[in-house]
Amino acid sequence: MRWIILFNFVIVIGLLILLAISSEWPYPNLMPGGYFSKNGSFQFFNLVLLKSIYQSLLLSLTLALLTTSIGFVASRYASNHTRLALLPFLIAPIILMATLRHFFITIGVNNTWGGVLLGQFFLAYPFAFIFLHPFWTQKLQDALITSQELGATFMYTFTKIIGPLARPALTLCFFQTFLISWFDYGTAIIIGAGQVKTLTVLVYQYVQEANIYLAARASLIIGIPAFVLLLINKHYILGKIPFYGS
Amino acid sequence: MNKYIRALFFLPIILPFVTGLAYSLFKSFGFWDPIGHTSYSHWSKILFSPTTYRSIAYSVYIATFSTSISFALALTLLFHKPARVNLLVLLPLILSPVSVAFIFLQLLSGNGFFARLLAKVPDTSIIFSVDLTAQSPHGFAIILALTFMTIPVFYAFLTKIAEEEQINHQIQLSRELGASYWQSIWKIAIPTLIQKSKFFILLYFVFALSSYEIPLLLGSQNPKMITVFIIDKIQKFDLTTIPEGFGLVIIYSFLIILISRWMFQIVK
Repeated sequence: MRWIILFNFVIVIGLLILLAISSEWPYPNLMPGGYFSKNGSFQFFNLVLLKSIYQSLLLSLTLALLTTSIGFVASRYASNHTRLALLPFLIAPIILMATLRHFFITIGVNNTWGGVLLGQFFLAYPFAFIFLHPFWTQKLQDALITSQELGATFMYTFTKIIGPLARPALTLCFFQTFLISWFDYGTAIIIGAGQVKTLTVLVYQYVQEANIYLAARASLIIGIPAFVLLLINKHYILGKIPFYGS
Repeated sequence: MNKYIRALFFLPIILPFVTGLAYSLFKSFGFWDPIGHTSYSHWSKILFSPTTYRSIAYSVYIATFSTSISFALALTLLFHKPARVNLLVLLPLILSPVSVAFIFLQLLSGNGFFARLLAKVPDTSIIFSVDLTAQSPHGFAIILALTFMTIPVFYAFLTKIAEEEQINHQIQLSRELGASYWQSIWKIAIPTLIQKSKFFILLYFVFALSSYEIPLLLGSQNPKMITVFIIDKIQKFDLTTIPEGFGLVIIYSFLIILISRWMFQIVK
């Protein structure tokens, strides 16, 4: 039974990889063919794809940095109503953005890079808030007070006590918020309105154009950072720290 | 002072949600409508059309099936503990929902991988007896894609819970007290795991309910899942259906709030 499930996983990922490097898939053939193109002009990356990778990467890294840093400070002031923070996380991002688009147009950030960043901030910030909230335990607060009473400066406390203790949680939060933005489709399509071409938007566009090879290539590129993060975080995901998915 | 800082940091969480809800409430009565005027007619259209209820029921059906199947499969994976395939189990996590939708379209569409595989089978009656194709109204493709995405998450969560609850020791103990292997799994391990992961199952039920990209590519024209239905009403070319779309947003949000209340009760 478990091998059937795992075999299916392999088929899905394998077909994706094969499609990404092939150039034709005529009907009765089981497997796509024409690997690396017949006429020798195969380019894995084209200009649109490279531009999109740059844009997505910049967007996701900025968002992850912004959300993790603000969320870290904010989660200290979390109250009993923290559970309410789940609500924006549960509603479909695309519907939340569809209801907010009017306000994005009003403040003039519709179909800009900044607008998508703001929209994704509304999605990722509650996540960071919930995720980092358990970090601020009573024990830590006591340690902070003790270091203050013993005469440590704010910077010293921050770099020598909070920093080392928070590093695992912050790293994981950074990766997760990065992935929320990296995998996001709803905000990019509604707020970006086709102007901000992130990789996910590009995949959908390629599917609509029936260009399955480029779509597979873009999907594979989306998978690469996620795969690296998975390799790094494997022991966290199957280990101690709770994993909420994205 | 502390109270105000707390409120300030909480504002970006709750403000978009409340603003969006209030805006859609006004919109659903026809306020700021470029072509119509304020009236209750949109609400009566929503509430008396069977399409609304059908799309909600369809979403619930898809979410129920995908969540329960993936939970069952994750449990199966957990008890057949493989030695060194942990990374393989987590592999679907690297794909974004759009990529999953795309690749399942390539697998299950009319000229996809499985159709080609079945075309090689000499007995053609098999091909017509199962309707697994994408965009069929049963939504098999959506269920399969969602299941594919959720198995690893459930697996990761269940391994953690099993470690915390020391399921291994419990099974061993019950075995020593004379229970058979299947008894110890069915009567002890699985009930404990389900009890502990109720919140998480509901969370992923809601995520399945809110999924958009997968039903967009793999779903049928009729019935549609609620998210796709709403966005079609708001975004597509017919301007007269925009208030209806926002009314449906209210219904959908109400559903989400209802389920989340249930979730919070479980946590208590």
